[in-house]
Parts: sequence; structure tokens; C-alpha cells
Amino acid sequence: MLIIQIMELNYVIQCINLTHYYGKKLVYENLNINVAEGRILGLLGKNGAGKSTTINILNGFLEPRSGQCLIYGENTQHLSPATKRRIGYLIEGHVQYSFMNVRQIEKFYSGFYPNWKRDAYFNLINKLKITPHQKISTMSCGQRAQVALGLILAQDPDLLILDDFSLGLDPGYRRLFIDYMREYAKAEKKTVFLTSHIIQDMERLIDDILIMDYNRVLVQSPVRDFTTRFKEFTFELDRDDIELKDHPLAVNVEHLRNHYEFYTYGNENEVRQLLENLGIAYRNFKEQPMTLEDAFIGLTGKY
Amino acid sequence: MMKRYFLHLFYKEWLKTRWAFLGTLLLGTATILYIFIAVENKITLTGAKTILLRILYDEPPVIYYASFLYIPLLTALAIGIAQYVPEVIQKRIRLTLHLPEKNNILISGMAGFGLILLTLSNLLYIGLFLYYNIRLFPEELTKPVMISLTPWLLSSYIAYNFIAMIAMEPNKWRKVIYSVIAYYILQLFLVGNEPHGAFRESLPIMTLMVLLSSGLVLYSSQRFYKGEK
Amino acid sequence: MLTKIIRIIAVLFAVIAAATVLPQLYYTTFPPEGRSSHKNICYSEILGDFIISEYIYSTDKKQATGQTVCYDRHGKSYSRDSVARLLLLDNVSQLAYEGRFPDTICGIAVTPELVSSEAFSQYHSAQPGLYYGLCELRDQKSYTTRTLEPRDLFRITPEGIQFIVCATNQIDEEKSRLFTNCLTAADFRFPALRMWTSPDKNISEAIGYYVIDSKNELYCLSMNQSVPAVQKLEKPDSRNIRNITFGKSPDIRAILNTENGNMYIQHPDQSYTRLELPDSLRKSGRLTGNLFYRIFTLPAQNQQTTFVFDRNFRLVDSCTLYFQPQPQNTAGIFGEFLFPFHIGQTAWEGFYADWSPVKRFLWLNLALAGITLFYKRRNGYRLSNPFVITDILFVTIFGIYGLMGISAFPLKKSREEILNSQSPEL
Repeated sequence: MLIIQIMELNYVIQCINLTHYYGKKLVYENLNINVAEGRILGLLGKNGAGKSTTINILNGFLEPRSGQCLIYGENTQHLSPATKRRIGYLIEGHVQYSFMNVRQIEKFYSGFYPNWKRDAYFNLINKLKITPHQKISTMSCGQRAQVALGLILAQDPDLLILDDFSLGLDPGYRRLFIDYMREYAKAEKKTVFLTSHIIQDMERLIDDILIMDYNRVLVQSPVRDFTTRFKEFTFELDRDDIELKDHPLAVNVEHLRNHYEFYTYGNENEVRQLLENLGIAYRNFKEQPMTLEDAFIGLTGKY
Repeated sequence: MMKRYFLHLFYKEWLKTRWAFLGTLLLGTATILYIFIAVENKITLTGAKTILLRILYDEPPVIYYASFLYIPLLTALAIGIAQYVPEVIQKRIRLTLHLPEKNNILISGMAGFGLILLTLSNLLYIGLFLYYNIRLFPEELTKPVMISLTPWLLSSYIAYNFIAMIAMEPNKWRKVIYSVIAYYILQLFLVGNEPHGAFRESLPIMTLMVLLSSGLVLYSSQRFYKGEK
Repeated sequence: MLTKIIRIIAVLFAVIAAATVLPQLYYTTFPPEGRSSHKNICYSEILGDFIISEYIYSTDKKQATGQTVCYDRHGKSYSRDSVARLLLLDNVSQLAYEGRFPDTICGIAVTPELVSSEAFSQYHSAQPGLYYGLCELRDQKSYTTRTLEPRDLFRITPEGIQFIVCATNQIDEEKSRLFTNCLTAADFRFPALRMWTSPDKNISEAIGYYVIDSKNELYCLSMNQSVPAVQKLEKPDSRNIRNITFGKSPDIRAILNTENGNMYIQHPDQSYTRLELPDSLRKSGRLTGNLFYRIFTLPAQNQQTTFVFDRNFRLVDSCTLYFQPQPQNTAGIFGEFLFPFHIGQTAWEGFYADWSPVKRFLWLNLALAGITLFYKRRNGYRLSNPFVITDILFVTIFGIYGLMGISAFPLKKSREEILNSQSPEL
């Protein structure tokens, strides 16, 4: 128990044996997630894999069926005000108090955070081409994202939870957001937990990756480890009816006619050996370079 | 001692509710002015003593302030809807619950602001009504009339507390059930067509119901942030 | 814990709402009571006895018809035609129209006009009615000139009598001082506890007001050509007065109820006659009068007693009619099983709960409580949870209302109950 507690001290977020159902439908069972201090973790998964459920449990908006989620050692269902002050939260869609303008919203939030950094907020806001009394509801998605970012920077939280931060943003704003966030997180040693559907953006931002599939975690490791170890090999076979998915070496196999894509944690020799042992003639055997998105699709499969 | 950030919380709530509040306040004020303009007109036409005797002793009773019946309720509806409905629909309530304070205290702060606003409007209505009523009529009429108005003013608190509960409730069918309950509870308060000073004996229980209803929002808000359906 | 307590409050609100509206809806749709006969009673000056008329409904429930039968206390029947000739004073118009009205009744020469002029009817209550303490004192001579028409209302406060000019809502200090001095001179102790006057404008002008001062003494206050007239009156048997009604007949100045439940007639000479009425009866009812008699009809639970007095208020006769309670139909009986109580509100008594007979609703309540217990156990709730016990108690006491309340606000299972439950929480 002591060893576990010592280990827990280094984790900002800890989900222990998390289990949740919606009615009778299992979302996941005995999910374990750890996010170390100073790391940027990206949560990936297909639609319905349980990402939003996890975010909601983390924010205390959902009580899991069993298991617990800890942030700075406190159960997320009963976070103390001091811990809440250390968490910055971006809601999916950059939801903000849209009836306020940029000054009003700053004035509102500043009362809750003793270390509020007004300059950090206005440095970003002044870059926006808006009138001083323009309501947030009349701003574009990108402008709202910038306001949200400014508020987070001003709050200066130790942990940031960003739910689908890139939703609705054009490439310019996405790049702005990512660059600011990464620079800020690394400079200030912040911990970030984020989700997004745009994996290219996540690839620029995150240190660690957590990939969920229905009911389970597929990968939880540093991004570099994952992209290094997870490989795609393509080859052509004489027949298109050969089943390779069941082999332990294969994580996923996709094929279009006789053109095969073989996803594995193994190396080239192991894959070649597999084919030869099965007596399968192959040609044009190549290892394909993969982006994180390619790796994600390869891991979870196309629909 | 109230924490400083409550002022900021109230600031946000004021920004949300100010137009709805001011709009209904204007309507309420106009209604009260209209009531007394109409009474003064009748006095000019018929004579003050005749009007006063008719108000006091006619059967069925002359409820010259009947148009005020729904004003407190409308004020509560306006404040409650402006405060809670967009916040829940647009998911901004999650931002509020994420603020660095216990959820129950944050929700209580929101509800407290609404109740303070409601009390201010009711006090204004009472003040305006008393000002004109005392000018025109003796206290033997003013006191019973104020007793008759009290259930209507109390109905605003019941309405507000139920609106808060209904808005925060995550399950739409339960919202319907709560609305039905609220409707029939409000019927007990929106009483009229009785001589002035009627329902005095009901006031203690009505007040108790108002006090007990003030916590209802915490029930459905906890269901909301536990993600219960 | 706080949320669970608030849930209990929410359940109680649901119970109140259900208890207010469900019985109303049910009994509007299914009226609870059947028909019973109507009875009426009159005193025959010819017979010197009572005649009872009863409207009996047809036994065929589809027919809304019936017939009227008339009989005396001894059971002897009379036809409608013969009853008219026995109740001459109650059928003046009909008999006069038919030309059958006699020239004498009981040896006294009569005309329809004379009989009609002697007839009156009024209601008297043992309890005082609505009272605001602000009244109009009319001048006894106001009929002569409009200048004596008062434009004020008066009240009697601890400081004295105040006349408020309605047009300005200000006190007429001079008039108030004049009347205050007059009342003080008559040993009136301010403020007034209560005031009464006749609803008849002429009588009100003539008599003015009967006023009770703070020492429970009775005064008569009137005004004659703007001059106050105050007279201290004797109280009947020196008893404190609860209520006064002014008479409509010249021989009755007022009817008074005293705090010990007695009823008195005050005559025009301000003497009193105590009416011989049983102490047990509540003295609220109708007073009718004719050429010969003064008749009090005092209702009570399922009965009505009629007292006949002569014009000197000596008791001549009395008769009690007993009414069959209206029979309950199936809907009414079923309603008593279904609804333990009904919550209502009256203007002057506030909220009330009208309970059905316990032996009727208790069975359904216990059955519903048993079903609740079975449901809770089956769905993994533990009886060691005090809020589960509370739910069962709600259903036991409030019956169908309690069941609706706990269903509208279902009890959330504890984490142990969820984990131990057979099926996941729905």
C-alpha cells in the first residue's frame, strides 16, 4: 500500500478500476489511467468508445458505477475548492458565458482565482479584431477559442482538461491553440489531459497517448514509443481470401483485393517469417511510414 | 461572512437576468399604476365613499387589485427562466460547477441571487402598492388587502424554486412531473375572489412551504452533476 | 444526506399536490353520493301543528322524478290542496290569486295585504361575520337634505373615534373630537371591540350602531342633524355579547347571542326576552315571522329543529326533522378506499385535511406499502437504509399519494446497493 501511495504522489490524474454502464450497456470495465505531472496526455478513441464518459467522470459530472478517479489525490466526485482552483477546463465547443463580452468575462473569473493573470488574458485578447463590448455569442468559433485560451492562461491552472479543443476551428486557429498550449505547458510544467478528433493536431501537442476502444484501453504509452513500436507492413498476395487477423502477431489486418496492410508490434523479419511459415507467397513487401492518425486507424480499424 | 467571489457570481447572474428582471419590473409597476389610475377614475365618477364601501362590503367582493395576481409569478418565471434555462441548454452550467467552490454552494449562490432579486421586486411592488393605497384608503382596508396580496407574493418564491429544480433536472420526463406538481402547488397560492384579508390562516403553512421549497434546486442539481438520468 | 432530506421534502410536495387535485378530479367525474329525499316543515296556524312536506325521488335511478307527500307529526297524510288551506299564512299569494283567501284566520280579520306586510325572513348567525372596523354612520335626518349625507367613514381606535373623509383620506378632526367627547362622557372605554348596524338603510339611519367597548359594555351610537347621540345599553343578563343582528320586524329591534350561547330578542323598548332554546344547539339559523308567530329554524348535523314562538316570544311548539344521510354510491365508497384524505383550503380557516374513515383506506395503504416493500427488495434496496423505511412509511400513511410521491422522486441506491444489485440500475 505504501509503495502504491508513493507512486500515486507523482500522478496528477489516476483512474483506478473505473467501470461504468449506461443502463445495461457497458461503457468500460476496470479502466486504469495515470497521468504523470508535467505530461500532456491525449485521449483518442472512436465515437462511442467512452472518451466523453471519461472526461465527465474526471470533471465530476458523472459518477462511475465502480472504481474511482483521483485528481491530486482527491476523488473527482468530491473535489475541494483548492483543487478545483488548480484545474482549467475547456468544454467541447469552447462553451463560454456567451452573454458576456471579453471584459465582463475577465471581471467575472478574476474573482475566483487569487493568482489571476490579467495581462496574460489581455495579451491574447487584444490580438482579436473585436469591439470592446462585443458579446462572445457574436464571435466566430476561433475567436471564442482564443477567449477560452486567454482565460485558461490567466487562471494559470496546474492541470488543464481540454475536451475536443479543436472542434470547429480552422487550421490557423488550431495551430495557434496548439502552439500556445504546448509552449505554455512545457514552460510552466503544466499537466494537460485532452481529447480531439484531429489527430494531426494531437501529434504536435501530446507527450503520451491513451487509445480507447469499446470497453477497453488499447494503448497507454508515450507517443514516441507507440509510433516506434507500432508498424504497418504492406504486401500483395496471390489470393484475397487469406485470413491473417487471428495470428497473435497481427494487431489488425486490412486488405483491398489482394493488397494487404498488416499492423503489428513485431518487426519486419517476424512478419516475413509468419508469411513463409504459412506458406503464403508475397511480393512488394514494404514497411510504411505512419503518422499518428495512420497508426490510430491501423490500431482501431476502419469502420 | 460572504466570500468575495459571491459578488462575482452575483455579477454573472445579474448580467443574465437584468433585462428579464427589468422588463417584468416595468410590467409590474405599470400594472400597479394602472390599478390605482382605474380606482381614482372610479372615485372621480362615483365618489370616494361609495367606492370604499363597495370595496369593503360588496358581495361578490370588489378586488380592485385583481390584475396584480400573476405579476409576482411572472417576475419569478422571467428571472428563473433567464437564469437557468439557457445555462443548462447551452451547457454553461458546467462552467459554473467547475468554479473553485463546492457545487452545492455554487448552486445555492445562483438560487440565492434569484431569490434576492425576487425579494427586491416584491418589496418594490409592496412599496409602490402601499404608497398609493395609503394615499387613497384608510388602514382598515390597506391591512386586509396586504394580507390578500401575500399569497400571490409567496407564489413567486414557489414558482422560482420549482423552475430552478425543473431546469436543473436532467431527465425530461421528470421535468414534466415536477411541472405538474408545481402547477397544483401554485393553485394553493393563487387564490382570489374572496373578501380582503382572506387566507390569513393559510399564511403560516404557505410560508413554511416557501422555506422548504428553497432547497429543491439542490436535489436536481446533484442529479445533474452526478450524471443521473 | 442533504439531498436525501430534500428529496423527502419534494415527496411531501408531491403528496400535497396529489391530495389536492386527485380527489377533486375523481369526485367530479364520479359524484360520490346518491339522491335522498328533501324535507321541509311549516307550522299550521289552523291545525296548531307542524306539517312536513317531503320530496321522494323515484326508485328508478334513470328517472330524475319524484313526488311530494305531506303529513303531520302523527303521520296523517294531506293532499297538496288541503295543505294550502292549512298553511294560509304561507300561501297568501296563491290563495289570493285563486280567490280562496279567507276573511278571517283564527278569528282575526285579515286581508292578503295585511298578512303580506307582517311576513318577514332573515338569517341570524351565532358568530360575527366579516369585520373591517370601518363603518358609515348615517344621520337620522339624512333623508331630509343632502347636506346631512355623510361623506366619511368612522372607526373607533384607542385614541377615540375618527371620521375619515373618504375624498381626502384625512381625519375630520372637529367631528372626531365632538364624537369622542360624547362617547367619553358616556363612559365609553376606547377602542371598540366590535360594531354592528342593520343592512337596511332606514333602520341603520334610525338606530345607528351597536358598539362594544374595550370593557365589553354595550352602547348605541347614532347621529341626529350632525349631533352625536350615545346611549349606554343594558346587556342581556349582563352577559358579554358575541353577535348582533338587527331585526326586520317592528317588534324585534335586535337579536343577540351572548358568549355563553344564549339567544335574546331585544324589543323596541330595549327590554330583552331570552329565547327558550336548548343550550346544545348552535344558534345560527333562519328567523321567519308572520301574523301570529315567530319561527326559528336551527340546522344541525343531519337534523333541523324548528321552534315556534308567539309574538311575545313564548315557546309554542318545536319539532326536529331528521335527515337520512345521503346514501353513498359505489364511486363514493371506492373513493374512501382510494383516497386517505383530501387537502383543501377555505378563505377563513386556512388549510384542512379531510380524512376518509380509517378502516376503509388503511387496507389499500397497507397493500401498497407491501407492494413497495416487495419492489424495493426485488430491486436491491436494503431495509437497513433508513430512507427505504421512510418511503414505506410514506406509502403506509399517505397511501396512493405517498406511492406517487416516491415514484416521482425515486430513491437513489447507495453504492453498495448498486454493486450488490442483481441488475444494473435502470
